[in-house]
Order: sequence, then C-alpha cells, then structure tokens
Amino acid sequence: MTLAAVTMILAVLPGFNQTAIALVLVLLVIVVAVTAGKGPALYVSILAGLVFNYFFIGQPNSFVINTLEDAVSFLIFIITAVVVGQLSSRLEKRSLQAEELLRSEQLKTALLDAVTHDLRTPLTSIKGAISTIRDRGISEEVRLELCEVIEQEADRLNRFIQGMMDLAKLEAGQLALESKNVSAEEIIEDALHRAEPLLARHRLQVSIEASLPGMQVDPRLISQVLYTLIENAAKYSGAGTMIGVSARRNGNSAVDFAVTDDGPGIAPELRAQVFQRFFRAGARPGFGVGLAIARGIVQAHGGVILIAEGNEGRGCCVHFQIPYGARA
Amino acid sequence: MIADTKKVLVVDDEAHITLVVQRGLESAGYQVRVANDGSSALQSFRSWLPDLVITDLSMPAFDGLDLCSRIRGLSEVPILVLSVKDDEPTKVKALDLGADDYVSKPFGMAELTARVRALLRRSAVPVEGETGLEVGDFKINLEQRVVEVRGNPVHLTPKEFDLIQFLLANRSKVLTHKAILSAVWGSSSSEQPEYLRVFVANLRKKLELDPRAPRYIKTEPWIGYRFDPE
Repeated sequence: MTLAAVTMILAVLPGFNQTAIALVLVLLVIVVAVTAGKGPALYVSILAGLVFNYFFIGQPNSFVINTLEDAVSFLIFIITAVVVGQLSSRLEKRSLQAEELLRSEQLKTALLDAVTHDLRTPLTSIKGAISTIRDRGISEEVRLELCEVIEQEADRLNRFIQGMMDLAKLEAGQLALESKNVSAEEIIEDALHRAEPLLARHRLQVSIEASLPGMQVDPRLISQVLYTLIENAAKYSGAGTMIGVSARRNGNSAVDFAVTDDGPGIAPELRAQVFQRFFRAGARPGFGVGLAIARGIVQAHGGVILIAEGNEGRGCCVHFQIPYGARA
Repeated sequence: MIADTKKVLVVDDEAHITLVVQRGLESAGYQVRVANDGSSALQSFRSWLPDLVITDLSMPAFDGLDLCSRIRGLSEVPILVLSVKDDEPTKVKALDLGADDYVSKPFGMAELTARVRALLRRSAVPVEGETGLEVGDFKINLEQRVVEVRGNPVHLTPKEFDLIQFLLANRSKVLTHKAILSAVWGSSSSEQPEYLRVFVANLRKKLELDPRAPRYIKTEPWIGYRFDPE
C-alpha cells in the first residue's frame, strides 16, 4: 500500500520520470534491507516490481506487458531491486558482525587486564616482601610483619582461584553446599577476620541483633559473600570513612545481612547490572565477578541480594537475606 | 650516602604494597611516608616535600596520572610510577605527564631501590656547569661542542651532539620517542620514531664498546630510551 501510494504521488509530481521513480523504489528496497533484513527485502523487491509494472510499464493501471522492451524493463527492475536489496542486507549483517567482534575483543582485553590486576597485585606484595626478607638486614619485628603480608596475600590469591571455581560451578549448576548449623555472629566474625587488612584505614561498626536463631548454610560460601561486600565497601569508600556490617531478623524466616559504606554509591539504573558477570561500576580495576558469585551463592541458599541507598542517602547498602533453614 | 637522609613518598591504594615498599626502602636507609590515594599524596607532598615520589597508576578518583601532572606543576622532584599493566600507551602517558621512570608489578625490592638510587643520584648532581658537565664515562664541553667518552674525544655531527646533550641532561630517566624528537628536532618531528632509531644506532656505534649490547643508551621497548652514563 505504502509503495503504491508513494509511487502514485511521485508519478503526479513534476520532474519525476520513470527512471527517477525506479530509483526511488530501489532506495526503499535498500532501506528495508538495512532495517529489516534479507527476507523482507526480497518481499518488498517483488512488490516494488509489481507496483512499477502496474503504473509505468506497458498499459497504465494494468499488469499487462505488451512489448519486448517493457518486458526487459520489468525484468531489469526486478533483478536490480532484488540484487541491491540482498547485497545491502548482507553488508548490514557483516557490519553488525564486525561490531560484535569488536565488542567481544574489547571484553577479552578488559578481562585480561582485570585478571592481570587481580593476580599481579598480590604477587607484587609477596615478591617485594620476600626480596626484602632475603636481601636486607631487617628486624625480627619487620620480618614477622612481612611474613604476615605474604600469608595474607597468598590467601587472597587462593580466594581468587576459589572464586573462579565457584563461578564455574554456579554456572554449571554444580555448586554443592556443605551446610552446617552456624550463627550470624560466626559468619560475620570469619568474614571480618579475613577482611582485617582491608579495613585498616576505615572505621568499622558491627551490629548483630540479639538472639538470632542459627542458620543451616554453607559457612564458607556465606562468609565469602559477606567478605566480597566488605571488600567492595573498603575499595570504593575513602580512608577514614565508616563501614557498617549488620545482621538482623527479616520477619520470622530469614536473617538480613547488610554492609553499608560512605562511598560514591551505585546509581539506581546500575543496581541490577552490578550482579552481572564482568560488570564493573567505576574505574577501579578488578575482574567484576565478585557480586555475580555472591548472588549465585545467595540464590543457591534460597535467599535474595539487593542494593539500596546508604545511610541518609549517602554511599551504598547491600543487603542479602538467607532463610534460617536454607537449602541443604 | 644519598640514602641516609632522602625522603620518599610512596603512593598506592593497596595497603600491603605500600607497607612492603616502605619496609624495603626503610631498610635501605630512606625516610618513607605513605599515602593511599592521590589527594592525600598531594597533601603529604606539600607538607613534607619528599625528594622522590613513587606512585601507582590505578587509584580511585584521583589516579597516578593526575598525581604526576599535579606534582610536575609544583616541582621537578623525580617521580617513579608503578604499573600493574604492561601496556605501553599507559606508560608513555605517565612519562609524558612528567614521570621519570616506571617499574612494572610485580617487582623485587632490589630492582626498585636501584631505580630509586639512580633517580636520586641524577637529581642530586647539578645538570649543567658553566661550559659543560662530566658524568660517569662522559665529559661534554658545551662551548666547543666536544664530547669525550672514557677519556677519548668522539666526533659527532651537530644533531648527534644535540641528542647526546639532551640524553645526558636527562640521564637515568626513561625518555619517550616523542619527548626526544620534540626536544632535539622540534615538535613537528614527533611522529617519526624511525628517524630517531637511525640516529641512536649511529650514536651507539660511536659511543658504545659493543653497539649490539649497549651499556649507555638502553632501549625501553615500544617507549623510548634510557641513558645511563656510568
């Protein structure tokens, strides 16, 4: 209909002869090929050919073709429209594939940078500490301090590898929970012990509601979720600011853990995206899988994780709720 | 000993890295202060006036590149950057913004303190005398435009002389192709590193004992050159 209308309008306008109208119709075919693809382009090509035939070839307002010259005109128009339409569609597809390839290459480079950062940072502390212990006259106190750094950074590397393994298992649906009855206090204590070096430059406020019932969860994994949230809070908020860790009842069925910070916060439109793999909010280097793993672990326990505003609209607050009798 | 009283400011947002670098440099006799981000580093720099700054590049908000350029606006103090990335564009950018050298993570403390020593030695010696200077194996007379290496006069073309003069004035620093070309040939030549390679190859033939294993003019792959006259 549109084709017929356009053709009729062009036909009555001065300065539009048969060739110009044919070109306009081919242009329409190109537009359809680029926007809708190969199939619709073929359909519109044939339709354009019929419309062109009906109005301009042979007897007006009729599909009848009387002369060899008209038949050749019709055939040439149809072939041109079909070929141009198909080539345009193919070109558009290739351009989209090239963009996709570029995005994939950029993602690969970003991931490689992130892995490099997450592996080389602890290696730098370890190598520097070892070379100082080995090459220099240092006091016993400093030696012990550096040995502690080596141990903590080796644990950090191990956690990175464990995180990768957890992610792979979560994606394959093969994460087996080793559930035990533990208290929220034990979970928080373990996570804070591991996060101690990260919190050296922050103030810490811990709040645990009295008489919380025990939970049937995998303590290593739930502690890992809490550690990830504390690590992010320490990473994104400035030295001297407050980081809050809390656990309280959520109705009669779950414990609500929360980590708050005074950092720049996360924009509401990004709050769902931060749980996607390889997503990083801000310019901080990192692999961008911590929150994806955290969400997988929480969901495997039948819980939920979400991001809210921090205290008084500042910073960020990440909650996760775990049912008391989480899945075994 | 230079190390006796020199003050080094170490900037990194990784607490363990600043601790390790601090302990390593302290054991080598330096006074060390640490900062965990660019803005506190700048405050420390203004109040403490260190002799050298070691900074990481990736830090939140106010990163190492910003810090290099802000410090360079205040002082000529040597800046050594630490980078976890191996990518040349980042290193070149840091050097163009005023850093004097870089060390890739992970590094050993022996390597880091050697770089610190070299940068402090360079900043401790006056760059130019009345008519020339003498550093390591090199003696240069600016009036007569004569260079002696290991006591032997070397014949250089005018451009080769300009080049060695610039390298000598910036010894121990990593110099990007762009910085050398701009300084010696003018800013319009900064897009022609091949041009520079030819001149450096000729200089090496004239100055080095073994031009294939250069001791003085060292190549920093994809970035530029470092001149070590000793």
